[in-house]
Amino acid sequence: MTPTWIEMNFPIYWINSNMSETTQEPLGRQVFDRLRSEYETGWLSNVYVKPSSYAAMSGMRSIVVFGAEGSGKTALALTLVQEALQQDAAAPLVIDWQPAFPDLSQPQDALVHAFFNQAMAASALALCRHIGQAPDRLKAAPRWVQTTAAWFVHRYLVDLDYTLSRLEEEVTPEGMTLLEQIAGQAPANVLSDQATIAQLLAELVRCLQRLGRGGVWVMIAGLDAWVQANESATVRVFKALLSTLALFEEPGFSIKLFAPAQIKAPLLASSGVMRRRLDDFVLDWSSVQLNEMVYRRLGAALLGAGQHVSLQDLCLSPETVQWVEKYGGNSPRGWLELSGKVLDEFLSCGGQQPLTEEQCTALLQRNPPRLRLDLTGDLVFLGYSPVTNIQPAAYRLLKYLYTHPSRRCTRQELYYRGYRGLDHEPRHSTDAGYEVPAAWGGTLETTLSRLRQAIEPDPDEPVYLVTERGKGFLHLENSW
Amino acid sequence: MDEILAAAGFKRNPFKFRESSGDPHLVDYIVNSETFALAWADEPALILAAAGAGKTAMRIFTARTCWTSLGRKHPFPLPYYLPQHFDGATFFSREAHLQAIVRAGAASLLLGLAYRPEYLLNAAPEIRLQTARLLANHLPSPLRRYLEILQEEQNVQALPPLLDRAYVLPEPPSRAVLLEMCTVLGEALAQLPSYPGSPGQAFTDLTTLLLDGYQFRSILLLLDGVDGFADLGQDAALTCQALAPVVECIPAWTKEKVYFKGFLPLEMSAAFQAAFKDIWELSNIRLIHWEPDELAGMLRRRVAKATGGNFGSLDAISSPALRDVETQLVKECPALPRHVIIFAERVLLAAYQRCEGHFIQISPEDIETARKGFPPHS
Repeated sequence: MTPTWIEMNFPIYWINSNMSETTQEPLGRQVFDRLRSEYETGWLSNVYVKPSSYAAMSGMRSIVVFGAEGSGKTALALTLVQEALQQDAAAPLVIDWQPAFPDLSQPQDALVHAFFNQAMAASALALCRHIGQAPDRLKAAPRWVQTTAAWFVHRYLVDLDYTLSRLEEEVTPEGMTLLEQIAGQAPANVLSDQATIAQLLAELVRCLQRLGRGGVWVMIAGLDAWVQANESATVRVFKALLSTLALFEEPGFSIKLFAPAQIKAPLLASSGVMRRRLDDFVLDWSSVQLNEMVYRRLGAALLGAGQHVSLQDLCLSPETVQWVEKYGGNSPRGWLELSGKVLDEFLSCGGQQPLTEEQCTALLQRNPPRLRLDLTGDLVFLGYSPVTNIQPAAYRLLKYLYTHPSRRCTRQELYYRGYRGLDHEPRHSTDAGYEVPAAWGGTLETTLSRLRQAIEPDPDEPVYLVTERGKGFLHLENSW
Repeated sequence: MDEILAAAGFKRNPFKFRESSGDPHLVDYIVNSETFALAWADEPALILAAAGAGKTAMRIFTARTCWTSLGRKHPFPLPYYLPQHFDGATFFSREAHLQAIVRAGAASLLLGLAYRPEYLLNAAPEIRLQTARLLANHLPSPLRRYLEILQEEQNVQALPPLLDRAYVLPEPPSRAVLLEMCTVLGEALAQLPSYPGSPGQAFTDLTTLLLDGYQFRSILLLLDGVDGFADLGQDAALTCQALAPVVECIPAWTKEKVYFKGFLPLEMSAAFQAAFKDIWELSNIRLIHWEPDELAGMLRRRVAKATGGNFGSLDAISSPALRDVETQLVKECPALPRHVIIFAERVLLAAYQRCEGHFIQISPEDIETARKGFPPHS
């Protein structure tokens, strides 16, 4: 079975041994390698910069955090969990819930129930893990807590033997013995099959609190792939979830949802958000915060945790710093990706002296920011920075080239198919839509010129809209 | 942040509980005595308010006051909070409502008896039997389990989180008296045969037990949570349809000293009036509305109670650039307590984070930070 998000990112040995450790050795290039928090758990806490509303996101409040791809949603989720688990007392039981799409033909309340049952199954698994790791807690608890825990496990875990086999390496031998006892005994009745969400959550939270946990955090992240696969279905199920107020009224139960920015508008219309049963945040960053991220990572890479190194320390050219600021947009991943290139160049040149102006210029020339189009929103990005001064006609040309990446386009093709949107290229005066080249040549050249002005760092030396000399073919380079 | 607040003079976070049901200090700063008088009186009433304006707070305050008022003959509060009993809008039938009301009544009775065991201990054996029967048949979990919880925890506070977390009363009983109540009820339970009954019969049994058996002056049926269901959404007419089985009983119930108190969303008022014209005219109606100075005063009361009277305004922990902080905070939000409370906490959190967790001093920058992350919702 595929490891869950928490299992991947918080294997128990890491939680127990590494949480409070900071290394003083330089971490090297790895700090800029993958730029995905899932692979940075060993040192993320050393370099993490908290968003402005971080304090409001932690604690037992339910929240939904919206952010673009690369804005740091996963890093935020990991940091919240890490700090919560470091609490001496009353740390929450963190549930990694990886939702599976329920049958969307169901009515809304059935949809919510299907989702809720998934979450409870994940909670039951986490409860088993907690019991297995701290069996003395359950043994010392009042009998009603023991029966509640056993009932909950039986109710929501279908194949207990398989579940226990999954947990074998994570729990103590004594804990496994206790879990096997629970599995082997029919549980006493706690709640009927008709129990409501509110009643079930109340029992779960009280039970956990008597077992030494402050409550429950249900972490839901990794939804970018969901949205890409089926945005409307994702919106429907999560809007239903966020409109089920019973999920947000139990003080010891908290849902922390990290969602892509493009589904923000419909989810904000859910009644749970509108009635402020849960708080909503948008993950955006100031240039001060983004600079701080770069300082910390460069410092960790070159000197060790807790150290700061600025881009200005690595290169003499202020244009390089401006290049990072401009094309990094307001995306942490953007800033770090481009800063990583500066670090690479610095290290490849010996890592002892700042890069000279010539070295910086060469670096920028070799690394034009990637051109990217968001075809859904008709947006253009250079690196992570939106390009806003593209006229509609110029955008049509760019879009055609972008959606035909392997083609070397003639001007004729570009005009008829790109600019005019025809599905064919008229060749003769008798063909539908034909125009004499003299009539459109100037228009096309003017539009191409405006497009180059908008996206090229040097329109006279284009790096994106490239013309094959002597042949007149146009194609797009440095795009993704 | 709690340690930092303590260093600043707070005994607790004054804005921690944005949801009334979880706030044990609600009675310290509830206002609006005219609305309360309506909720308390022995007659049907409709209390209308926007989401976050304090319907639930008033409902909870009314229920608690039933048990804390002087004299023996007081109403029995029966909170009927719909999301506690239904996961979806499946309460379109009289039977469904009656079953849920009886369940709510059973929970309320057990909680009341746990906090005030003398009611059971002074009751005749037959009343004890009827009580045990009602509780055995209509609680979410077996009665014996709740008694076991009380006996193991030896603290009445263990019960409300499982049945109704808002049902927290002052002056809990001693351990000995509580355990005695558990013993008495357990003995009565042991004598019972099974008796499910019909919903209608169970409702009659409940009201008879409360009014005749325990001699409560009346029963206040406190309906709340109508706007907690996504299925009903913004459809006021559909919501009225869902409530019709209960509303239609109001005249008959009134004659039986069961007084309906509807804590309803303001958006429903026109539809309710159209659907239930007679009931509308029969009931006393009040709209909960907040003036800015009342909201600012509510914030100051929270601060005063949370500091034990050490100071009564956030000015005490603000920079000199800020004065009359509460009035400034109220200006940033819709005129609703929940929004104002949440915003005030956001400002505290922003100050805490800006000061890097070392202390709290609210500055204009913190209000700005909170404002940015606090888009107004309807």
